[in-house]
Amino acid sequence: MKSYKDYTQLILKINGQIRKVIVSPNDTLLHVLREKLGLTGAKPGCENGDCGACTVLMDGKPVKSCIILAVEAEGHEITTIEGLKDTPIQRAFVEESAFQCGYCTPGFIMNCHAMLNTIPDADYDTIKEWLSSNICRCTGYEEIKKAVKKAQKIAGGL
Amino acid sequence: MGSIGISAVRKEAKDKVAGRLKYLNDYNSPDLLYGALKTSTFAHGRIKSIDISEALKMPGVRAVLTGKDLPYRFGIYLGDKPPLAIEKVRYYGEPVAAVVADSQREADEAVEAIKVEYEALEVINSPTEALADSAVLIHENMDEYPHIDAIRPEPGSNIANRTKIRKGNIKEGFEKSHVIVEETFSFPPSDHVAMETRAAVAEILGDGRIVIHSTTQAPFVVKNLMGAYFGVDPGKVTVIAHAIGGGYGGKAGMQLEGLVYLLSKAVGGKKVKLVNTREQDMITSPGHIGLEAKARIGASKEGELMAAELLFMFDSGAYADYAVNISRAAAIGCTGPYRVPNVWCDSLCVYTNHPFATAYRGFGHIELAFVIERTMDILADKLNMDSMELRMKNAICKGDTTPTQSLLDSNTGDLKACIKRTAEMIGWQEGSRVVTEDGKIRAKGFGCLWKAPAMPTNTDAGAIITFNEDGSINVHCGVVEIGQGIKTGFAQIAAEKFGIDVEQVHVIMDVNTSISPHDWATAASRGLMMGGRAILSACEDAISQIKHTASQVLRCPEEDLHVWGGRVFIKEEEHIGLLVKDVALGYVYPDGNAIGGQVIGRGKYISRRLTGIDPDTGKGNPALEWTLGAQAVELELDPTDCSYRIIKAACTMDVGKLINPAMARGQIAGGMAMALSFARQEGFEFNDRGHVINRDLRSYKTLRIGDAPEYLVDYVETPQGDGPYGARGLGEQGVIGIPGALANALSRALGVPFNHLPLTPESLWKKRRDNR
Amino acid sequence: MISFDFEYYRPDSIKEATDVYAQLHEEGKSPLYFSGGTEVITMARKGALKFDALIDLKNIEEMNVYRKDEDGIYFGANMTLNEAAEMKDFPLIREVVRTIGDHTIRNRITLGGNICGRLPYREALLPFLLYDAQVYIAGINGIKALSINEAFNKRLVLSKGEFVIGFKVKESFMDTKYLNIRKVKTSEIDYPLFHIASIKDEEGIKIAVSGLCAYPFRSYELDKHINCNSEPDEIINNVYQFIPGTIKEDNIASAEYRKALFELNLEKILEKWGEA
Ligand SMILES: Cc1cc2nc3c(=O)[nH]c(=O)nc-3n(C[C@H](O)[C@H](O)[C@H](O)COP(=O)(O)OP(=O)(O)OC[C@H]3O[C@@H](n4cnc5c(N)ncnc54)[C@H](O)[C@@H]3O)c2cc1C
Ligand code: FES
Ligand code: FES
Repeated sequence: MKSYKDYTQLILKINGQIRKVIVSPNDTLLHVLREKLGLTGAKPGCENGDCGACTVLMDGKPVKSCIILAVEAEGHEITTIEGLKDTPIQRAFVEESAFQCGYCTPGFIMNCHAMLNTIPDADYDTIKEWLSSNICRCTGYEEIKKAVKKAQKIAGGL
Repeated sequence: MGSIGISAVRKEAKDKVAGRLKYLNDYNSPDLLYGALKTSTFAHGRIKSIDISEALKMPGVRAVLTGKDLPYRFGIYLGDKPPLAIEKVRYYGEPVAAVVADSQREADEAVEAIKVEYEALEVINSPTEALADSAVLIHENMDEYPHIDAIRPEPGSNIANRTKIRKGNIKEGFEKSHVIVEETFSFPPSDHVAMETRAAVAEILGDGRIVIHSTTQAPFVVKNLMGAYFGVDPGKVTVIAHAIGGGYGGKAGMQLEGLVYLLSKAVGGKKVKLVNTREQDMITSPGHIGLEAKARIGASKEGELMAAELLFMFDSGAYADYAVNISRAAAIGCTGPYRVPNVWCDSLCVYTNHPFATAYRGFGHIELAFVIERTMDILADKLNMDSMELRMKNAICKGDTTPTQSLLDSNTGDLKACIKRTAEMIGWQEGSRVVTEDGKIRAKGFGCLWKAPAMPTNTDAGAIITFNEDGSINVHCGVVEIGQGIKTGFAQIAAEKFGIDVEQVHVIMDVNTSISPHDWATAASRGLMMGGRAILSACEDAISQIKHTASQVLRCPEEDLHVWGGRVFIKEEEHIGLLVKDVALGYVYPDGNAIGGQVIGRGKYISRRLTGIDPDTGKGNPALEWTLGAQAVELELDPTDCSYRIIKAACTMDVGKLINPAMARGQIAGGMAMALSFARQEGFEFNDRGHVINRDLRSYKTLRIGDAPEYLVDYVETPQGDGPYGARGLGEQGVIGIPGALANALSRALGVPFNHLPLTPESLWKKRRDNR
Repeated sequence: MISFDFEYYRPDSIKEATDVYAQLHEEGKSPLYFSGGTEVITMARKGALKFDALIDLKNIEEMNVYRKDEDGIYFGANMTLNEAAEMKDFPLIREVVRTIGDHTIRNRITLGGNICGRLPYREALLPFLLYDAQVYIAGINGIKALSINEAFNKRLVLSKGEFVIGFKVKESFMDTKYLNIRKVKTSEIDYPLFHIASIKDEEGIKIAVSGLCAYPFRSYELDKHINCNSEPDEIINNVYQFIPGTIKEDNIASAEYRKALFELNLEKILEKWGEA
C-alpha cells in the first residue's frame, strides 16, 4: 500500500519525461505542475472543476488538474500543453484565430487534442459534448468549432 | 502590399497555442512572499473585534494587517474605499484583514485563524431601498471624501453621483406626443468572469522605487493613483502589465495594486504576490453594475420620437469606483442612437450593500440600451408599427444632436444602413414570430447600439518606433494586449504606412510605465483609434528622419523622397534610392564615415476639442467618436416550460474602416456571446442578508459552446475622418444592443413584456403566469 | 489550494482499505474514502469538509472492473462515469450518467463517489434504483450484498468504515424500455431542476427521481400510484402524497416552478408509456 504522510518525493511521468518532485498530499496536480515543475501552460481559472483552463491529459484522457491530487497522478502518463508540438489542433487554432486573450486556450487545445485522438471524425454532437467542459469568455466559440473542423482536415491530410 | 483589411495572424498566436505566453501568475520566484485576504461574512456590519493573535503566531507568517493599520481611501473618482475595512463592512466579501506569509498555503492557513466579530446593520439590497427616506447611510461621512469635479455626490444620502441631462423642453415634448409609454426595468449586479483572475505583485526597492506587476488594463492609471493615494513620487513607480487573460473593463482602474503595495511595505518592501481566487474575483473585487430604471417616451402618431424622460438608478454596490462615471456615461448617451428633441434624464449612482461595480464592456451603454431598446419595442407595439421601422425612422444621423446637445458631424456612422443590413441578415421580412409544427415559437428581436468612449478630455496615446539591422520595425505603445489583438492591429497600421509585410513589424507585448510612452488606459474602445493615430504619427516622424539622412546621401531634397517597401527612393526615379536598413541605424559611407544616427519615431495623439458637461443641463462635447450599429437575435422557445435556444445573433456595425476582419469579427461575435450570457443567465443572486449565493462558476453560469448561436456579422464603412485609415472603435460595442434584442424577441414570442434580466426560463414562466 | 494537511493512503486490496480505516480510526484520526476525488477536493478547498486522511480506493482491482457474472452484470464502484457510459449493455445507465457534470469531469467522477456523495443529486443512482441492483459493501467483517433499495434511505446507509465496491444488475433489464428526462435552469452543464428516470417492465412503470427533493428517491408507493389506471391528470394531482420529501427551493429553481415542470414532464412520461 502506497502512502504519503508529509512532504515526500513523488515520481511523475510528464510529457514522456520522468520528473521527481517533492509534494505534500494536499497539493493538487495543477499546483505541482505550475509551481514546482514550471509547466505553467495549464491555468487556474476556478480551481473548482468548472472552467477547464487547467485541463491536462492523464493516460490520454482529458482531466481537470485542479481537482486531482498530485499523488494520484503517480503511475499515470501526464501530458500538458508543453508536451504538444505543432499538432494539427494547434495549427488550426492559429489559422482560425480560435482565441483572443488565450487564457482558456491550453485547456481547450488539450481537450480537443484528446478528442481528436479518440474520435478523429468527431461530429458536432461529440464536439459539443467534449468541449462543453471548457469556458471561453472572449470568443463566441465560433472559431473554436471551426478550428476543430480545420484540425480534422489537417490530420486527414487535406 | 496592403496590410489593412487583411486578417493578419496575431503576433502572439504561436505562444498562445504552445502555452508559452506568460500571464502574471505564471511568473514565480523563490523570493516571493504571498498575500491572502480575510473577507467579510456580513453585507453590512460593524466590526466589533478582529483577533489576529493566533494568525501572527503561525509558521511562515510575516505580517497581518487590518483596516486600522492602513488609513487610506481609494477611489478613482471618489475616495471612499479603505484598502481593508475600517470600523464597518459594507458588502459581503469585503476584505477585512490581510496576511503575508512565505507560501500561499501558510498565508491561507493564517487567514483561517483570524477571528472577526460583527454586529449586523440593516442591509440595503437595491437602489430603491437605498433611496428611501428612511434608508440607513452606507457612507455616513461622504462629505469628507475627495472627488473630481465631474462627479456630484450628495452627502446625507446614498447617492454617489447624479448626472443631469436637460435638452429641449420636456413638458412640451410630451404635450406634442400622441403616444406615451412608461415602463420600469432592472437587472442585478453581475461579473465579468475573465478567465484569468486578478493578480498583482509589488516590491519596494532599496532606493524607494516601487515596482508593481499587475493584470491591469490601465498601468498608467495605476501609476498615477499610486502617487495620488500614497503621495509617492510617480517617477519612482513602475507598473508593468503582461498579457492579460481577459479584461472586459474589470481590470481597469486600481484593482489589487494599492493593497499589495501596502502588504509589501509591511514586510520591508519584499516582493509580495496577491492572486484572487475565483470566488474573490467575483465578489471581493468589483463586477458589473446593476440597474433599476424608469423610462417614459413620447412619440407622434407617425412614430417620431418627441420626448424622453429617463431615470437611471445604478446599483453601484458598496463603493463608487468606476460606477460614478458609468452613471455619467449612461446619461451622456441616454437616448440610445435615436433623434430625440426633448430629453430629461437623471442618472444616479446609488450605494447599496452589494459587491461594488467597476467598468464593464459597454460602460453605461449596454445598460442604457437595454432600457431604450425595450422601450422602443413597447412603443412600436402601442403605435402598431414594425419595431424595425420605428428604429429606422428615428435613427440618429449626421446633423442631429446628442443628449448633450453636441452636433454629429460628417464622421457619423450610417445607422440606417446598419439596420437595413441586420434586418436582411436575420430575415426580418420573413416574419418576426412564427409557430413551428411542433408547437415551438420562433421569434426575433431588434436592438440598436451606440457608444462613445467615456474618458477624460485630455486622453492621449503615444508610440515609439525603432529599427533593427534588417530594416524591420519595433513598435512600442502603451496599450495593453487583453486579447483584443491590438498589438497586431498596430503592426498592420505601421506595415501599411511603410509598405512592408506585417512580419517585418515587431511589437512589444508588455507595457512598462517607465519605458513605454504614456497612454491613458486600455479601455473605452479607444485603443485602436488613439493608439493607431499615435503609431501613424510615429511612422511619419520616422519617415521624415529616414528621408533626412537619405537626402544627404542621394543629394536631393527630402520632399522628393518616398519611403516604401523597405526602400527610400526618389519618387520619379524609383531606381535611385537606398535600403531603409542602411539608413535607419545611421548611414555608413564606403570609406567608413557615418551620418544620421538611428531613427527613433515618436508619435502622439491627444483627443481633440472635448469638453466636460454642464452640471445642470449636461450640455457639452464629451464624446470623441460614436460607433453605431444594429443587432438582432432569433430564438426558439418551448412555450410549455419557457426554455429557449438562441439560434442566431446578428450585428452590423459601422466600423469606419476594417483593419483586421478576423479580429473584428472575433470581437463582435465574442461581445454578442457575452451579452447573451449576461442577459439570459447571469446576475448575482442575494439572500435577504445580502450574501451572494452564486459566487463560483458552478452556480454562476456563463455561456458554453453548446449554447452558442450562429453569428451573422457585417460592416458598414463610413470613414472616421480622424481615425487611423478611417477606423473607429469596435471592441466593446458588440454587447450593447443584445440584451434589448433578446428581451424583445422573448416579449414577442410570449406576448408578455420582459423588462428584467436575467431572462431565465423560470422568470419568463412566472411573468407569463402573473400576466394571465 | 487545500489549506490543511492530511495523510494519503492507496491500499491495493479491500482488506488493506478496511484495515487502514480501522487503524486510523483507532488512532483518533478521521479518515475518508476517496475515489474520483471531485467532491472531496472541491469541498476541502472551500473548507466545507475536513479530514485527517484520505484512503484512495482506485488501486483496488475488484472495484475497477466491469464483468458479466452468472447472476448479472457487475459494475465496479471505481468505474468513471465515462467508462460506465461506454458500456452499452444498459442504454439507460449510459444516458443517465452522460448528463452528469461535463465530459472532462466524467473522466474522474466514479459511480461509487457519485452515489455515496454528499450533494443532493447523486444522479448515477437512478438506474440502479430502477433495476433494483445489488450493492456490494465492504467492511471490517467482510463483504455483504444488499438490494440497493433496501440499503438506500435518503442516502446509501453505510456503517463506519464501510464502502461500496460495486453494483450488480440483472441481465434481464438489458432490453427494458426506458424514458429519461432531465431539466436544467439554463445551462446544460448544471445540476438538474430534477431528473426523472423511468422504466417499464412486466410489473409496470417505475420511476426514480433526483433533484426534486433533498435526496434522490424511488418510492414503491409512487410506482403503485402511477400504475393505478387513473387518468393522467388525476395521477398528477395526487402525486405529492407519494413523494417522500418536500420540493426543493433553491437558486436553481423555486419550488413552484420545479413542481410545475415536474408535473408537465411526469405527464409526458405517462403519455409516452401510454402510447408505447
Ligand atoms: C464540474 C462538476 C459538475 C458536477 N455536476 C454534477 C451533476 O450534474 N450531477 C451530479 O449528480 N453531480 C455532479 N457533480 C458532483 C459530483 O456529484 C461529485 O463531485 C461526484 O459525484 C463525486 O464523485 P467522486 O468519484 O469524485 O467522489 P469523491 O469526491 O472521491 O467522493 C465523494 C464522497 O463519496 C465517498 N465515496 C467515494 N467512493 C466511495 C465508495 N466506493 N464507497 C463509499 N463511499 C465512497 C467519499 O468518502 C466522499 O464522501 C459535479 C461535479 C463537478 C466537479
Ligand atoms: S481551474 Fe480547473 S476547472 Fe477551472
Ligand atoms: S480566449 Fe480569452 S477566455 Fe478564451
